[in-house]
Amino acid sequence: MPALRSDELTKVYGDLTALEPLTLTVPPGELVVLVGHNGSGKSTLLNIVAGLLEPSAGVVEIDGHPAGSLGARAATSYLPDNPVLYDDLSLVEHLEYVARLHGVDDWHERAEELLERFGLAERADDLPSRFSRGLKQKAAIALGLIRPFSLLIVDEPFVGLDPPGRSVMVDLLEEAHQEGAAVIVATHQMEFVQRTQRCIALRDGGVVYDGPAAGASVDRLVTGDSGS
Amino acid sequence: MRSPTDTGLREALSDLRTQRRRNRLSEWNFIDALYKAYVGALVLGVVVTALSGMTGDQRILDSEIDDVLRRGPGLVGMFVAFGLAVALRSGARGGPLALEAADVRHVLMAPVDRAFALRGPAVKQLRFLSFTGAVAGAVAGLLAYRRLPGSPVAWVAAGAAVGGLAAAGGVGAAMLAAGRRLGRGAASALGVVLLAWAGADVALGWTTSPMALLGGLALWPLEVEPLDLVGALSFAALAVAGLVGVRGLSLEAAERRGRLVGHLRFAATLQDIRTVMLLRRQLAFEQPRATPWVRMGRRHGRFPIWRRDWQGIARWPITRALRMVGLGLAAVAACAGAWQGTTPLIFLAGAVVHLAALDATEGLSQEVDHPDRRDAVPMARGALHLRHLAAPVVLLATVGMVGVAAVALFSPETALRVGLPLVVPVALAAVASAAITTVRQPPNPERLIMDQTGLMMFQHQALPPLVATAGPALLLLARPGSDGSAGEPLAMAFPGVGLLLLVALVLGWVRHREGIAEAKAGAGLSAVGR
Repeated sequence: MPALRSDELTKVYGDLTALEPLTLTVPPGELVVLVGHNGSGKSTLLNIVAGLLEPSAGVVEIDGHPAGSLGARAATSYLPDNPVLYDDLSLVEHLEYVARLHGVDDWHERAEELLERFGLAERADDLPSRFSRGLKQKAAIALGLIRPFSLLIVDEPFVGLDPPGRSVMVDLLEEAHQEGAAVIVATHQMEFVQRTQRCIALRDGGVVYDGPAAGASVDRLVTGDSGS
Repeated sequence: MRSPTDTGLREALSDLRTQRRRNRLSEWNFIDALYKAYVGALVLGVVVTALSGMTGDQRILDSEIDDVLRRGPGLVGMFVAFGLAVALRSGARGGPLALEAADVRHVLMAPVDRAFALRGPAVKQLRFLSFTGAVAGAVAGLLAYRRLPGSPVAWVAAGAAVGGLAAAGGVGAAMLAAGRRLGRGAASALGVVLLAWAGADVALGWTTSPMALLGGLALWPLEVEPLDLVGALSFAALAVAGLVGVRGLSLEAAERRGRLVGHLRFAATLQDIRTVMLLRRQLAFEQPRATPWVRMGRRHGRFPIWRRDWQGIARWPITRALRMVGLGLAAVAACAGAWQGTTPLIFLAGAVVHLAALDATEGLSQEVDHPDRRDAVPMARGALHLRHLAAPVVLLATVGMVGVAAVALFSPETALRVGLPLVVPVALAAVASAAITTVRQPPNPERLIMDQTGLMMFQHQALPPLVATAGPALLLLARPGSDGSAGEPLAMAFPGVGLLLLVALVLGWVRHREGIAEAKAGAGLSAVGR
């Protein structure tokens, strides 16, 4: 069963087509990079897969469950490009409740490991509302990784991260992939694109490339220079 | 995978909310809360006193009681239907719940049963709005007691029951609309049907709709009609249906609404009325039309700012245009009340035209909100701001003409002799008031030091509506005397010149505001003319 399957997936806002009928399949354990220029539909696609947006037409399934359904929510971890955190919970309280809301009771060890790797151990009891943009981003990533998932979707994970943070992020994404999860990352970072197995390029809501990431034209796809 | 009804997941959610409540309470300031309660009580007292003055205390004659019993339920039902229509529109936009973005991301996207996850916020919202409705209903009951026979306790209780149930039903209707993903068009259509039904009850003196039946409950101190309980039960059932149905809420709508309401509350805290209006428009999905109602010609190169303002107005969505007309008619209705003797209504008219003018001066607002773009224009800021006021004056005068036409339906002579001469002065005063609010920007909280707070709050919040009120207030000089003497429209002429001078003063301030500030800072009077 594919980790992600979309069939004729379409998203329309009034007279604007954000996603053209899009059919794709991502098997379990695949590391996929999603590229395209601004407004190409990457975030819209990820938001639909996460269940935050609803498609105008078509089907999206995660592990065989419709996107947004209970089964899909249990299977999908979404790391958005804008960290969304409570103002009145400390970082460790965030980790505790997100873990428990996904049925993880023995969360302490994993939380400590994530905090350590992101250099947040000293800030565990602080309110994230007082964090810088980069620290909030790290906190949000830790929240996405403390819970179990079989599909990890990540939108612009490197924005706002310092070089050590970027390095940890890459390691964590690769670990998730090695542990058998399907990982889809929307990014403009060429270095990361080259590490992945498959590249899907979007332009104006449609797929213009779906193939190996290690190709001569990928850099142009990332910057949106070429659609063919 | 765990079941959505898993006790562990439910406990996790309950613990999360308890922890948040505990963290918030640790930051709670008793003095601050006491001050808010004091201000709330003060505002409520002022509102009750003002409404009490408008209602009057002349007892209804026994011979008129039958008429009250016949028409009262329908009229109350009309108010309730209006509230339901607004609630349905809100529900179609994802309301009335305003969840935090973090709740949407971490709770609603977790594998927890959404009915359970949403029950807490939904009950909280229902409880708060029902209480607010009950208080408003109790105040209305108290005012009714001043003119109608019966015990005050009965009137207050009936009013509170009707207000609470109406609000609960409204919240339920909105939640049901949100959970069922009712489209905005369908919600509006349903609202129109409810209003038409309630309107038919009023026109025919019937009590057929659940709204009118609920209205009948409000008159129980005069006559107990058991059938009215059907209305009460319908609204209670609607509230329960809403609590059950809200589980289907769209996350897209919830996240958007939560974000906008968060900004809106912050703007309201800062008393930034212009930002509040802007965010409210975004909440209502009032986006500019892709295709303007009227395409501007290409032969207006000499007046780019005038043209830019009309281009913006020509892209207003229909709801915004209708709201402008509605505000105009509301101002005319308030003026009519003042003309007939309820003088305080003139302040309501002033407040309404001020709001309309804030909506009309969006071109100016956008310049103020984007200073970099504004400063790229090779023109003094004041001169640029001033030029943005021309189109709103014409627009408001046009809306005023609609109001005058409405008055003409009832009293052509009053419309011609009093309404028509007031159109331009009212539009000028309204635009001047909006310019003060827009150009001044909201008060900076850091500058609100104790000995200047009152003055600053007056300048920011009270002065602009007072300037706007100066326009409609002219009609008070022309209204008929209480001794039955005929009104004299010419009495408005001299104060009208005074009003024009006031407007000129405000416009001069808009034009030379920065120069005046520089002169005050020691740059000398020459700075004013720049």
